[in-house]
Amino acid sequence: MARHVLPGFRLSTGYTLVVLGSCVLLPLAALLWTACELGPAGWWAQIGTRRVLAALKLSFGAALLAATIDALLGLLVAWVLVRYRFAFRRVCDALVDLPFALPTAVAGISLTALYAPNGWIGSRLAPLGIQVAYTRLGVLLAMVFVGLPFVVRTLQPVLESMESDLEEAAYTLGASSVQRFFRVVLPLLLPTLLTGYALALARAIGEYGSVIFIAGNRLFRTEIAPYLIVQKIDSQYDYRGAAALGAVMLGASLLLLVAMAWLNRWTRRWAVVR
Amino acid sequence: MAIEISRLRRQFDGFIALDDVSLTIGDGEFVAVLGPSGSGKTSLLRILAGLDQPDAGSVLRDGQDLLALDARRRGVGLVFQHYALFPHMTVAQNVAFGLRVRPWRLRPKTSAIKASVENLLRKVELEGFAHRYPAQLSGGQRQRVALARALAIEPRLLLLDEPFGALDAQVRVNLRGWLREFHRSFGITSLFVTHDQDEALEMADRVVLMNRGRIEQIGTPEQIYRQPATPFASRFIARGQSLPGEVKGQQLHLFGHVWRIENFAGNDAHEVTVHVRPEDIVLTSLPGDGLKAKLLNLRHVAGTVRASLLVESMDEPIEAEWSERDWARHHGPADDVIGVHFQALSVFASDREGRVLARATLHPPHASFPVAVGPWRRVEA
Repeated sequence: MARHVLPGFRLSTGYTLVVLGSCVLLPLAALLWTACELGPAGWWAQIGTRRVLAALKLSFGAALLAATIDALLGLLVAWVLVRYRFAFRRVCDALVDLPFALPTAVAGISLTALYAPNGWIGSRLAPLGIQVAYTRLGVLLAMVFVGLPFVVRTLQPVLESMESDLEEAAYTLGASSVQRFFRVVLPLLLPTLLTGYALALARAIGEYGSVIFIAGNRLFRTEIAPYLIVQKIDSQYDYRGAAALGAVMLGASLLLLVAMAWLNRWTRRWAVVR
Repeated sequence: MAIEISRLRRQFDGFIALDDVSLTIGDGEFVAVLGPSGSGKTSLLRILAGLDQPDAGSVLRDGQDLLALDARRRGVGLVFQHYALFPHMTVAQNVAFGLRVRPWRLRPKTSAIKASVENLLRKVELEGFAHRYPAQLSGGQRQRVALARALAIEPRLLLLDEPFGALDAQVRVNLRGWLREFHRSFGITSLFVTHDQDEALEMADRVVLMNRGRIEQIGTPEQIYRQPATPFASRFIARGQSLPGEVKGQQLHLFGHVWRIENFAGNDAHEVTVHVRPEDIVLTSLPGDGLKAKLLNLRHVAGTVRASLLVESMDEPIEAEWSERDWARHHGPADDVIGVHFQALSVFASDREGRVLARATLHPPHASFPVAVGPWRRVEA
């Protein structure tokens, strides 16, 4: 092994592996173990029900959509915060972190209070035929809310360090502002945007607290997968069933994140020196 | 395609970047804008490129107002100091960028774009690199890609911002000659900004010397070296060093010697500056002749000898430069006091604002030469 400048490589690596193993891998292994106790047939009996499939579909579908909305919205917010100087910019900047800091239940309750049919916004949307609380739209809204800071915070430093040279070069070469954005700025931001997207996606898939309040948890319609897991344990003490559902979520999330990482690498292939 | 820049002024809060700058660039000319950092040369370049607007003044190209056009439509190629290549595009895509972003009416066919990219890459000697990314190129190669990219739009004016600023010394010197030849074969009107005197003098047809937002002097490299217009030009280009001289009437008093200067209207000047260049401090052939100079240190640099000298009563050392041959011939026994005399002195008289009222180049006669003033030593006013 090559000698490192700083000593303690073995010690620090060993320590990292122990912490990582006991905090992350061990619980996940236990989850898979418990799920495996069911056997294939028992597993399918848990997963293959209409209720569970609907919940999984809602969880992943809404999370994918929410992360996409976050990516677009987050890009806009980060752009405005970095590129423009305006009154209360720093306040706005600080506000972005709120979904990070707020207990998710508080976020869920406040969103519900706002968007419920008798709420401040909900009552104004109701005449238009739009109902947010207790519908899938509500699930989406909560997921967008909790995922937004991830996109903004990953993009901000990259946008800040982006050289104005490149845009100016494109400008003198005859590119319009639209071309400058789509041909120069966006491709350079894309890897970071995807990282933010993956983080927002992971958060949205795993989100529980803020979603269950606004979702209303109506059978087949607004139940999310994490809610079902809690239900199984809470009301039926069905640890294996919960583990089976958990393992499915784990597998699907892993696949999604690996795909995101691969996509991320592909979008920044130019930075890799062959 | 003459470019007339007149009375440009640009001010950033509290700082004057360009102060009444006027300049005419001839068709096909290769002009260097030379100056220390903060002299306003980059501001001038950015205004010409359309990336900045002046507070006052005008820029005309063949009588057409250039400032009215935005950077997109100016047809000005700009090569950035740090290249500003698009890192996510290959070399070929970078070069093709300017053609691809044209509105579709003006956009050449894909095959035509490909052909012109190939042609340009051949000109900058990067044929085999079309499919590499900028991260895979060396500094000199990136520089040439940036040049090819700027030339792809067939600009009528090429601007280069410190074209060799980010390269190491060896590559820099090689690229100088290459760029000079390149300009000659293309004949495109070019303006480059640099803080490196050697670079400007070696490459440009004409040098524009800037200092603190003002143009100090415009001239060919030879003119600027031989007849610096201001003390700054003398210091910056010819390494002129101040001597404690005084002008009284038609006479220059220096180290107890008195020399005549003719036609020097410097009597009501606020300040008189006397400069000597390192290469004009020559060793006396007779021991004990000339001015006494104490040798502080001596460096042998590949054929030339550079020395720090304390001349007569001065307490600040000045630099002298001799060829190795002269040094071997003239220096006496290992003595640290030598005799020198000045072959040429530049004298400037300036007013309170630093404007030069009069200047003269003086060739003081000295005892080492049998004829004090011969036909070859002309006294200029």
